[in-house]
Amino acid sequence: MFLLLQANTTELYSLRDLMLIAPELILTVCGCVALVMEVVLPYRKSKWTAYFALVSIGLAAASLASLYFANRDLFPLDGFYGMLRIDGFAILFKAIFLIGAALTVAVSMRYLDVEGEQHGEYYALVLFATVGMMFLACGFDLISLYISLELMALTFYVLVAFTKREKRSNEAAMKYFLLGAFSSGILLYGMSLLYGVAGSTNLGEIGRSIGVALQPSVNELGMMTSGIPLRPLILLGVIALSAGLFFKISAVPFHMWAPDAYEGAPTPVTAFLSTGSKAASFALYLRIFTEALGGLRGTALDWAPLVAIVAAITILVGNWAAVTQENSKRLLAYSSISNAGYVLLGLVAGNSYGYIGIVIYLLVYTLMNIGAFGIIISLRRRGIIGDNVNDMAGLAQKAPGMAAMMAIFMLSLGGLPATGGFIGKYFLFGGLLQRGRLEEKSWYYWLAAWAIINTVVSFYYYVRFIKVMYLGERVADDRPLALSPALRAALVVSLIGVIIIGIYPQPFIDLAQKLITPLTAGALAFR
Amino acid sequence: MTLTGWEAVFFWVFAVTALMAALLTVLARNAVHSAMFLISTLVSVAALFILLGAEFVAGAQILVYVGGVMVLFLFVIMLVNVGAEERGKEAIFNRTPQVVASLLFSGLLVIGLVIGINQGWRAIQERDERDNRLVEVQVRRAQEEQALPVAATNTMKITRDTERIGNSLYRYASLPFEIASILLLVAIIGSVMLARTIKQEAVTDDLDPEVLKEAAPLITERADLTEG
Repeated sequence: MFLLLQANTTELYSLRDLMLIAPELILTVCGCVALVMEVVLPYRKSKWTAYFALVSIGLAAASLASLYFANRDLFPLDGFYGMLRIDGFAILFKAIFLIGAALTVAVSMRYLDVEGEQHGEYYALVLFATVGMMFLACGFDLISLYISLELMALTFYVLVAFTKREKRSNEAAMKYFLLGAFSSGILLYGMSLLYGVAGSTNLGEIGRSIGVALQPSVNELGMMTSGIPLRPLILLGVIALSAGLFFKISAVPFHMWAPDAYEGAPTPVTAFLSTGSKAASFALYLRIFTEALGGLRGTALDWAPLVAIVAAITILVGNWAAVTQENSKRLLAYSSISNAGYVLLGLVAGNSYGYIGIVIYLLVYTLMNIGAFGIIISLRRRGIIGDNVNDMAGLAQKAPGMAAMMAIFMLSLGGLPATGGFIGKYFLFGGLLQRGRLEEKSWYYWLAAWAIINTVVSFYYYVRFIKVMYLGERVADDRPLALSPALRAALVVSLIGVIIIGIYPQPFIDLAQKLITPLTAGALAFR
Repeated sequence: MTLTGWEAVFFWVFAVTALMAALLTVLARNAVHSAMFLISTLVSVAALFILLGAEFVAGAQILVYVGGVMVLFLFVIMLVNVGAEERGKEAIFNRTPQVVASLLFSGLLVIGLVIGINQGWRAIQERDERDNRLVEVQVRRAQEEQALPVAATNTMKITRDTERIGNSLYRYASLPFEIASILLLVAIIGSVMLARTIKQEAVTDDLDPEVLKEAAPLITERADLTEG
């Protein structure tokens, strides 16, 4: 505390700045404490670290809530010389990351026991990854955004390789690391081009300078000079930035790493990678493309067609490739690719419907995907890997409760009405239709129709799980599932979340609408 | 700002050196050669920093990268056996479609950059001339240079470069600076965790009992090897 006050007197940053990042500070300190616990505790007590991690996530959530209630009208608060901005958007995404992290820790405990790799570092790394994600949600400057992205990515490289005595895990980590480093380079290239155009790394400044650069102005000879000369640079920057971000969210031309990394990684890490990391990358995407590049919508440099084409291909490839998969983790990897495509539709829509859709879909996706992976985790026992679709055969007889939960998660992933997945997809597609009607352009309608057709295809492979569980002729194995109280609790929480959002979504929609307002206001300010 | 006279000569020399050495870093079959070429790339980039008037960054680049990081690289390369790759006779570019695709895309990128930077640079210059900003900046720079303290040898002036970097690093960029420290912590944890052998885990009581049972013969064997 003394040190903090000292920092205050030299006016590097004020105590108020530190209050803004209180949740991240708590998680960082707790991560360091978890590391010390790992050293002190013997192997069989390593699980205490997991409970400690859960407690620290709870503390961070409490401080996040206090941040929200201290500023209920959600006036955007800037801190650290404009390096970060705490607004509704940031708080909402941070809440999603904390939920994802807590569920991941809960489903990890028994899995690591089974793998024989119950180490405290795992939980510390999960906490640090969450810190990276949370800074991604509130960063408002290319520098802090890039560093937090790297923090998150680096942590995931290590987590994917966590079961280091397993060859598949090592291979997955190597692939993920090489492609991730490459994509970071491309992303950085785009950022540097944008910096060259704007002369600043602050997102607000970039937005302003791009607005000025594109404005037609009159020079002293009385001739109109439009912003054309700067256009190629901006365009290159946008393309490089999008390519780097498409890697991170595994959109289609850049999705190759996802199935291998998801299959080889320890299953809880796969769950966290496909939810937390993806949601964080979307937060980054939204932040940059609304705050800094939002002014490009409707101009000659509109990025919406680019994103729309990528989204359409992503939905197609993800869904059709998932149909033929036999490994359930690989199948869910392709499903996660196609879901990235759906979420991109919200960005194409770019109105409050679309943004609400993105947020609700990411929240529901976090719940249902970690739930589905939780069931796969319970199939992993000593000597049984259990990640084949056919390993679920006869689950309905052996563990009816688990089979029912899996069925609901699968139907929700497909987007059946009365589940959370439907509400998310409803808003995403609805946003597209609204935008299409507003701009009177028919391709928005075609895009929505395309997405809906592919959603129907996706039911084929989601229902396949249900078919195997309920109609499978033989029981895959008769050994009991690897369940623990924490895993059960995580599954029940995810299930309740998915069902409540599906049946009574109004409070969530209202909350999302309220929290997402600054984003839509920012995008509209340029028009 | 257009480069003229010796500045232009030095710029082209160092820029071409940096590019060629970077290319050779990738193409060299011998890992030590690769590292050496990387060093010359870094030195050339440091020289470019000096041309930009960023002496501190140039010095830091040479001290940290060339002096520290690359020496570590060389140590690691010499300790780890990389002979197999050196002896290989296979061509490095052995997959035609991939080579064609990469050449195509890098060509497109180069064309785009050349067009984009040319036009953008001209646009920014026009804007600055219109606003008389260039003259302003030049006048201000000259004034600043006048005010700088003279170095002990009385031949040159001490720049405020370092002070400016320190200010922006610990003030404006203080938050990313702190996040970078967590990043480094994670990197250390990861490398230690992945590199720890089963024996080291067993000694610190950080190993699953069943994994230990399976690996017990292996561990004693290793112990014999290291002792003998």
